[in-house]
Amino acid sequence: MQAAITMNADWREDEGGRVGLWLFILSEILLFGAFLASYVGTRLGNPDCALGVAAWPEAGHLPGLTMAALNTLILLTSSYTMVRAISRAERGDRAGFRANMIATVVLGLGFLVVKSAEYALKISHGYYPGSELAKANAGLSIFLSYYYMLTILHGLHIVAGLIWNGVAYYASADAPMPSVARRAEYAGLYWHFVDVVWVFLFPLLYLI
Amino acid sequence: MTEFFASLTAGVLVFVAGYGGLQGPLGRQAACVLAYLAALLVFLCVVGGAKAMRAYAQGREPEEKHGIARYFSFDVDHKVVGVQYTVAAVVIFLVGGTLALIMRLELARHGLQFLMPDQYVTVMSLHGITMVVVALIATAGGLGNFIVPLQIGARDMAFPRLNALSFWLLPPAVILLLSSPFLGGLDFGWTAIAPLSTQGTTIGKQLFLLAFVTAGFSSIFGGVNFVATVLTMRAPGMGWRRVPIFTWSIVAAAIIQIMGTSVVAASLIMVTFDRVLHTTFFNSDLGGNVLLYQHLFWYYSHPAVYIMILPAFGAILEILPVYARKPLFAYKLVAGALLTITALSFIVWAHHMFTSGMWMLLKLPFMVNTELISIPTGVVFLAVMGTLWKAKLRLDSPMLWALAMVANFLIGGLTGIPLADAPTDLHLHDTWFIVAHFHFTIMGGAVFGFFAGFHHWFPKMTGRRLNEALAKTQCALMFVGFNAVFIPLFWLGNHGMRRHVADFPAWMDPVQTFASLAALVVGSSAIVFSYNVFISLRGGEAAGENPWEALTLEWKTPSPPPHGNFKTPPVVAGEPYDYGASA
Repeated sequence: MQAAITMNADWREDEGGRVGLWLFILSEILLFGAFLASYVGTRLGNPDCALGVAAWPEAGHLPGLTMAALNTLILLTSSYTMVRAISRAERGDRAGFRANMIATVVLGLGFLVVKSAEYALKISHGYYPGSELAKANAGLSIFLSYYYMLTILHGLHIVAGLIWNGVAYYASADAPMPSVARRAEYAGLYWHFVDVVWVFLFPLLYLI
Repeated sequence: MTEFFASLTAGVLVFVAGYGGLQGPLGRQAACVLAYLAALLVFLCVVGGAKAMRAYAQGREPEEKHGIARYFSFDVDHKVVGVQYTVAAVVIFLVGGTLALIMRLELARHGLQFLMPDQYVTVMSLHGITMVVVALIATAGGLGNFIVPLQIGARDMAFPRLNALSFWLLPPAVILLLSSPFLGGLDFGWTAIAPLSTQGTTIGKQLFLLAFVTAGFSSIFGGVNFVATVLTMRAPGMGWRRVPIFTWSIVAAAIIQIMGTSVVAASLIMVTFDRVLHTTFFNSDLGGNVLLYQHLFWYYSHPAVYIMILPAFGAILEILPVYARKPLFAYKLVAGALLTITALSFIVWAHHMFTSGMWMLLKLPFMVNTELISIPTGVVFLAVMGTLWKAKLRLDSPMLWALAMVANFLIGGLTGIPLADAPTDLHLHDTWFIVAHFHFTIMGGAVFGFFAGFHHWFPKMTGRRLNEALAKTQCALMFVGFNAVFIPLFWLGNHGMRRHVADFPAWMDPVQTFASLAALVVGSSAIVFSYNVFISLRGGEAAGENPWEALTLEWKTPSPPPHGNFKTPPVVAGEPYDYGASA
């Protein structure tokens, strides 16, 4: 049993944060996993909305595909600025970190603005749950249900990520750089996760 | 600044709720959701969450508090959080128990006594959900928070602020639950099965959903915290083969909390969307699927019973070696068994749905998977028997509770077999047979296990010993009373007594009256318990460092432990259950 005695020296003092964050992300994966499994299961099992059924709103038939494509671009760019922010923070470049983090936050806000415009466009065409259009068409109704729930919850995750990024930015004004870098890494992990969720949502909701 | 942002957000939410909900297009349900979110934010700020958040943003250490007031504030010490959880669990347990007594009085004879059927269902639903909360938080949240960091020789949890947050999310959830009967009531039990839960516009139903999701957040945060703590903060020398079994059980339960809770949150969020935004997830006229709710719900809610029972297993397995003065039998095997139960728990959920009309072919695998769980559970019993074998028992009160738990759980486990078998389940589904079965596992198992742990660790948590005579009286009253209430229920259920119903045929009267009288015995044990805790806190005998002569790390520090837990950081050099023959 001598070997066991040193085992905990493997863990650095700040390692708990990274482990905890990954565990939390695991929980989040199961949340979106449950939604996406329900969505896919509904499409597979339901005659109203299987692929190719007339009632199911195919891909670009609903307004907003261009906006969603723009949003995909925005989020992917924000992931890039986030990576830059982390690497600047690790190098000890405070100003570089702050500039890139601000860019990430602005892009995240931009995503929310475009998303709101897309909602407004859809609602103005009568594409929302409970509308006359939706009540007349089971496939459309269930599609809109999943569309709004998934995008609203993803939007809330974007808001949470923005708050997280904002705290990291706020704290970076005078904190020592190693601590800034650690916060940047945690905020970055979460932000990338939120982006990856969108990478799943975009094809599932708009393209297939 | 945090307070500013929080109050701004709360203000906006209230405005949208008031304007959009009551006047505009959103409706009352949405107003209720938004107003609750605002209230939750304000509540967390008031108890001190905003201050802790600001300290985090500025990179300061959490401040150390003193005195009794710390138990009513956002305190980050794991020992304070553990006590908060334990006290909350006991208080909610007494509330839920009172609800149970109300039901038992209504059921004392046939016909309606003093509750209308819908009131009975509301009382039943509230009893169900409050007791589910108790079973989830008592051992894992209360004893786990206090004991696990001590057992592994850590200073605190990995995320002390998150720990405080996970506790402080609970009071709002419980307040919501308890206010729901005054706002239209609940009629769907603790399961909120759709489409019953998507129909009807009472606010009470909506409050239930919000409370459930809030408690879910609390549970996820707690689970993340435990796993991260045990992974990264064990004392030098504590390899995985030296982790005490209670800590193992908490890790197993925490894995379920992390991997299950978000899925049930998904199902409740979908119900909320159906109620608030007129989506049609569970409306089969408009493309929805009602069975989907049950799949998502039971995916979590079956594993949830293992969140309740695994820490109780851990507690009694921790206790037995101490009072048997022998090493825990098959320690490695039983640690593996706890993790095996965790893994299997995620592939058995549809045994709740044998009568639901789901795909026939699913019945066989779910039946087999469910029965597989009896193998690791058998290993737990093997460890219990092996530890007791030829031991000279010290029959102190924690040991009595642990033995009572084993006896109860044996009945609970064996009566689970006819429910896991699809053919017999068709007959027993939704009868009191199931009610008796899960009370033997959750009340007889999880709650008795909690009391075992409570009596074992009370000296460590408070520095004082409980009165042994009263503790043994409580154990005897509760054990006899509990068995007398629930054993007849198996028989009634098998003869057709259904759940959720306030009335029954007159020929059941003698048995029902007997169960009601026995329930009063259980109630009286709660009074003995409260009295015992009260007098022991005021004038109990000082406990000293290690009153039970146990070997795990929590007993190597003063009772109650000081801030930071250990005066010198401990180094582990031996096995956790090295009780020699001479002891």
